Parts: sequence; C-alpha cells; structure tokens
Amino acid sequence: MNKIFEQLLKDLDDNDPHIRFAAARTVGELGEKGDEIKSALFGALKDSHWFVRLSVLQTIRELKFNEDEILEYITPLLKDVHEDVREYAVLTIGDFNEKAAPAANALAEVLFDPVWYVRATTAKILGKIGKGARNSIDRLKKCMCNDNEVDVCISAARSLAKICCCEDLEVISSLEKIKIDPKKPIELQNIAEESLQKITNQKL
Amino acid sequence: MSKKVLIIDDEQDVRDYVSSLLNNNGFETKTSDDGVAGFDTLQQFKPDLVILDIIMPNQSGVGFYRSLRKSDTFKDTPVIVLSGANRYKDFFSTDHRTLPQPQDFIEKPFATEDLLEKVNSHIQ
Repeated sequence: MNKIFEQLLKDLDDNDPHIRFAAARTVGELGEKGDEIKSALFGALKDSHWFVRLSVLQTIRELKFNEDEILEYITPLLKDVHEDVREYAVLTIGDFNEKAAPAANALAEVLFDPVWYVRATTAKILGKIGKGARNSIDRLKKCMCNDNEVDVCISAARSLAKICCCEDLEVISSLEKIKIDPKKPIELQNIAEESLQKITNQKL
Repeated sequence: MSKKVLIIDDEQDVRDYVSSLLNNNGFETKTSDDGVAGFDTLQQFKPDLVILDIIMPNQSGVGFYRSLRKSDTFKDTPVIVLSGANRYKDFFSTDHRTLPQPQDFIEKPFATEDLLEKVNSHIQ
C-alpha cells in the first residue's frame, strides 16, 4: 500500500475527530477499496463522534462494497444514537433495492423512529425493496394512516403501492378512506388515489 | 428597520464574534447554541436569515435545516452554513429528497468581508 493510504489509515485513528472525518472522506474521494482500507472503514463505523460515523458511511456508500458486507456492517447502525447516522444507514442499505430484502425486518423497526425524516426515508426505502418487504406492510399502513408528519404518510403510501397487490384488502381499504378524508392533506389524498390504482392492478 | 439574523453555533466564540460583526454592520442578531433551542428562537425572533453550524450537540445543523425547510413559515428563509470544512457540504446531499440546498456555505476560519458579503447578498 502506498504512503498516502498508510497515512490515511493512521489519520482514521487520530485523536482529533475532525482529522478522522477528513481522512474518511479522502478515502472516499480516492476510491481505493482494498482489504486494509475496507477493514479500517468498517472499524471506524464505531467511532465515538456521530459526524465521523456519518462520513465513514458516506465513503462506504460511495465505494460500493458488496451487499453482504454492507448489510452485515450497516444494519446495526439503524439503531445508532444519532438520527443522521440512522438515516444514512437506511439510504446505504436501500442502494441494493430488492437485494436489501434481508434487512427489511430491521428497517421496519425504524418506521417507529422518533425523528420524522428517518421514518420518511425508511418508508421510501422499503418501497425500493419491493415484494421482499411484505412483512413491513402492516407497519407501513400504520405510518400512512397515523403518522403526524405528512412526508412520512406520503412515503408510506407510495411504498405500499410498490409492495402490495390486489389481495391486500386492508391496505386498499385504508387508501380508500384516506382518498376521501377531507381532514387529510390534498397531496396525501392524491398519492392515496394513485397508489390505490397501482395496487388494484397488481397480482401477488 | 434592521434586518434580523439568527446565529446557531455551539461555540461561544463564534456566536459572539459573528453577532458582534453583524451588529456593527447594522443587523439585529440573536444566537443559539444548538438546533433544538435554535428552532424555538427562530419561531420567536423570525429572522431574515440564519447562519448555521453543522456539528452541534442535541441536534445537528442538518436536522435543524430540514425542520426549517418543512416549516410553512420559514421554508424560504435563506441559510448560510458556517462550518469547519467544505466537505461538510456532503451532509446536505439531496440525492434522496427534494429539499433545496442551503443558499451558501462558508468555511471556518473565514474572512469577515466574505461573511458580510454573503449575508448581504442573501438576506431578503
């Protein structure tokens, strides 16, 4: 390994979190993903500072490691103490679309996250996973009907359209109620109508 | 009437310095040391522009920024991100959402004339 990467690996272990942050981003910019770098990056996911963990996640996402490694190392970050790290972990897992199905159950738990944008992004990613996220239907339905943030409700409604089919009668019923409920935001009513059309045309 | 600027940064020195600089240039200012308290101050003070740090305890600048852009009252308030390194811009990546980027970024340490120029150019 050349001297640049030797120094970067040292910097990933520096006492100053801002140096660790910069080292992680530099690794991403250089695009190197050899075993030693990979091991150092995955180890740095346990950094004590949230912005270092987030920068490492961004780099890992850019370097595009295989899905088995990502799911193994990133799934635990869905429970990170910092909301921005949790959200970015969701996004990173979501890059694998239907291949992220093994993480669907863990993602479904994140639909109860206390932070609205983490819930909204999670709802969206479950839609990207598609049929492999069928176990999350019930929770997505609850988000769609009951979340107090309209962005979460809309994400959930859109994702249900990608996951459900004409046999998911409870979801269809919920969408029909939202579509005509004057208390719901117009945008959500419109999305509910679109999702309803898609779902009723889909078979299991 | 003076234009109002809200400064949100967990470092006291930064809050004092920026506040003093802007006050001396005719702006009215309020400060806050984190995103959560900053949102309360935002709602009371109703600034014309926000200067926002990213790395803060309790709620990061990113979290504050998202809440700001979701708010009907403040969604169009210009924001200048003031941060230790330009790489922190990555935290505002919008590849997965439709939020607009902050109006500007300025890296610490900064020249006073740069900050003043950006504030004057973005304030409504």
